[in-house]
Amino acid sequence: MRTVLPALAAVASALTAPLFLGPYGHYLLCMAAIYAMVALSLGLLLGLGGQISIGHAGFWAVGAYGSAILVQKLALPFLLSLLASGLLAGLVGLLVALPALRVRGHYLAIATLGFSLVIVHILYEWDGLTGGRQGMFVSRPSLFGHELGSDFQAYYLILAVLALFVWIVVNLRRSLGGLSLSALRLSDVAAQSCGVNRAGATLFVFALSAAITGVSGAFYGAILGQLSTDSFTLVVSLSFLTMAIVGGLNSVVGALLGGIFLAYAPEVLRAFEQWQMFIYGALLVAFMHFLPDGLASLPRRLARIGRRGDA
Amino acid sequence: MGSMFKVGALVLAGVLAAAASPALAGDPGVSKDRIEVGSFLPLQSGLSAGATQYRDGIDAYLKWINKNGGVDGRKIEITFENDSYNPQQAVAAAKKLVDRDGVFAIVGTLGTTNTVAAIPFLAQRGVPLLGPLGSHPSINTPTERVVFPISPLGTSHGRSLAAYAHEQMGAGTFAVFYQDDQYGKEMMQGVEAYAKETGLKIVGRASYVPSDVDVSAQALALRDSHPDAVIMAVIPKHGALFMLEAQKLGWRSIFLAPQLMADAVSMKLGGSALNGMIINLYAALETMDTDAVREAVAAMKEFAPQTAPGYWSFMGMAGARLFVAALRKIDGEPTRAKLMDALESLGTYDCGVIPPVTYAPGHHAGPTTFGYAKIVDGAAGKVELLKHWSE
Repeated sequence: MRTVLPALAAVASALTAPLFLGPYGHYLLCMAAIYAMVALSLGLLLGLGGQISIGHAGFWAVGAYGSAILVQKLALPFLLSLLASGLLAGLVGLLVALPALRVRGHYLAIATLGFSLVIVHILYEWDGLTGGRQGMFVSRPSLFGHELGSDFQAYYLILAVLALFVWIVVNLRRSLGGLSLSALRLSDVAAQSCGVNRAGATLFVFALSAAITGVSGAFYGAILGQLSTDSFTLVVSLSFLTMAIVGGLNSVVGALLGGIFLAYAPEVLRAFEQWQMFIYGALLVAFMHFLPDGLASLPRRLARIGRRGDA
Repeated sequence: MGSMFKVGALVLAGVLAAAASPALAGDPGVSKDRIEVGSFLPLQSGLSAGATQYRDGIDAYLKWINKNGGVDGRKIEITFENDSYNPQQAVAAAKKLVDRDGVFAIVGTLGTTNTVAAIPFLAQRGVPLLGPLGSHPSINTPTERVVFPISPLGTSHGRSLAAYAHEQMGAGTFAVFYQDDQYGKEMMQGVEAYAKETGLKIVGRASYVPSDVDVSAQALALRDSHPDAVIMAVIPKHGALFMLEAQKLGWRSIFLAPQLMADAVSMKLGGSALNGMIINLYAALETMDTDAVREAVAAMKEFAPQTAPGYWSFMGMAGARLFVAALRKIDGEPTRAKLMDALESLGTYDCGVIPPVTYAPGHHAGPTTFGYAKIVDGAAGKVELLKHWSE
């Protein structure tokens, strides 16, 4: 009951919110859900697996371009292209995970950054396939041959896929595999001495995280309608990390809040014009100081403050 | 239970926070006494210095028009949005302007990636986009009817500089220093096409990427190719660095570059190293003695005194001038379709602050002719007009 009610409230609000919004609001909801997938994948990798990545924009790009190429050039149905882009990004994630078996911390961060730069450069130079420096236009998402022409329609498809990922991640966290990853994060020597396969677990968490990010990228391209390599820079990877940390790495709710934060913060702060980045930076510092466990920990913090006030 | 419920409520609040924006889809932004238009620009990014001046140019001109009675009694109001040179934010800004604010048209955007990202949405909604400044076929040779460009093709730039070097200055061989991207390569293609047609030779090529901080090797390599003229497809920082290297090497040649090299940033960076450089003009010089330029300078002085009139502000103003010119041609109530018809009836049209654009049904093109000028004193920011585009 403790988790069912809030979960139901969240689902109900996610389902009904578009009814009160216009097309601009629908677009932002789509973006929030797309970003939430990335935050979910980073929560999995960083929060559960303890592996850092500052190259997630690379996985995002693989998914975005992979899906766009399959739809535009091979006329594959969008749903199949989603699946394929997830698999493709997952495969690339496996490759990137190889250095993670040998290095960690800063070194792993640099390795993932290098991967992201290489991917973006390949996409930029591969004119014939990706449109290179001119980029490529991408069709709207579709479902069983029916084009989802409005963001209102597309939002529900994105939401359904996000819900699927939430279900997978929640169950993974509770499973033996999730516990193994937690154990590895806390002490890989202790975990291995208890029989946890470090290599297998690391490869798995990287691949799953990349796959979720790839699917998010596929949605991103289809909703935006246009792809260029400018959308997949280091700044984007860093904003993903920021989003995951601001939301809260250790919970699914944190991922959802992180997605909402990344989609809405620029819109809310737009009115502040040249002060926008200053306020954004100050907000991040404030979050780190007052909410180190992210927005997801806000109710707990407030409750603690309330109890202190009562006493 | 309490804290978990609060988490749920927090998610609910986050999602519903978005609901603070009721949509007004279908409102074309025209009322009895005003017309609302919008613009999205990278006001926070590496392009922010130019974008701010670009915005001021649009804003000053529209305020000037309003001060003088507006168009058919209607004042024109503009809302500017920052897109941070981010495609996702550019689309969000376009959707906000069109769907929430209900603007009639988009007047003035700056940047390639951000503008291109928003074009499919604007085309789908039939919202005219006037005065986009960027380097992409979707902007400068548009297939979407809603797009009305103001910038020349990169190939036209390259061709114009090579033609001037050859026909006016007698250059027989060229070297090209270019930025390794769409912008630089298009200009290079223009030089190559001209060289092929005229049987001239390109004796040296060297490129850089925007993150480079040293271009000395490129300057040395091109000097050793002994060209009669050096054509530069550059942005201010790297153009200035290259010219400073040339000055250090004591290399004297004919250097030609787009007008960007005569803006305040380039002059400040390059100083006297820019002396003698030939630039092609695709925006007016503030010293030009024409009615349009005098009006533009007066508008800037009155409504944007903090911004010096020049390249960026005039480019921004160009979209606004085309908008007003087309608006004045509309009979009856303005609609988006009538606005596009009016723009397409302009034909080859000189708005005075950029060379003539050509808008006709099925053919929207930015300028294809250029003026020319020479930087006579880079340190003092002095530029001498050699040839107006109308000559």
